[in-house]
Amino acid sequence: MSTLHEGIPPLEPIYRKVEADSRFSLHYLKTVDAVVAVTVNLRNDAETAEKIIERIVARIADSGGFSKPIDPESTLSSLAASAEGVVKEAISAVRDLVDALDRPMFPGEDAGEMSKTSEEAFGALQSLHDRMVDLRWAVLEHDADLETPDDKVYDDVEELVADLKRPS
Amino acid sequence: MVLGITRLTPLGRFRKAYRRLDRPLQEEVDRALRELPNSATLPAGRNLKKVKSRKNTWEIRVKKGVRLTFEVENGTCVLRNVGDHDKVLDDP
Repeated sequence: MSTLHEGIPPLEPIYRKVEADSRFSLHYLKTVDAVVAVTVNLRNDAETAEKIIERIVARIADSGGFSKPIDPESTLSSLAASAEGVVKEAISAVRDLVDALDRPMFPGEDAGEMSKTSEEAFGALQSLHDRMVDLRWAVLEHDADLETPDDKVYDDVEELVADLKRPS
Repeated sequence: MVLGITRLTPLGRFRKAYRRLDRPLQEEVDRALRELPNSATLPAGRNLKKVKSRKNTWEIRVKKGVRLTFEVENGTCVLRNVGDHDKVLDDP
């Protein structure tokens, strides 16, 4: 560390400090921007998907029953359950973010913006999840309408329970 | 609510769905099935109600987040679907 002239402090640590502070601020600002951008995208995507799903559920309800099953092999049902699981993970991650933003880690204004967009994304994801459940069940019930019951009718519940457990 | 159930019959899809459940959940379903014929005395927790936007389909709660649906025709309970119905906002 060198001193250039009398009365002038060493400049190297000053430059290093300014650089480090700026780097931190840049990183921080990018983080804030990223959180806001990601949560806004999450909310928009969730709302779009929810609208599409609502239209499909209404179409199934209004159809009075299509002539063929929608999910004869239960492949859609499995896919839907898997997608619901991922949305639930996203809900959990955004909830953690909302909780974290409640803590006094960030300056008020930044936390406010991130909190607002995170809470909106949280609500949108929850709503999307539940509409996905509605859609999965709308398909299940629609397809059940097209199926004829077993010939076997049980007067005794215990006989039914035993039969259900029997391998096919 | 009296549904007048005297007999039960499962759809093929109900049998398949039941077999996909793990053993503890199957036992929960068994408990619900045993209670079903006495619909008037079903515990409140079963939350017996009509399925929204369907005329003749009923639902009961097997346990939190698991639903069983059925119809009743002339005293026969037709078991339709059983499985995950784990909503995060409504229908707790």
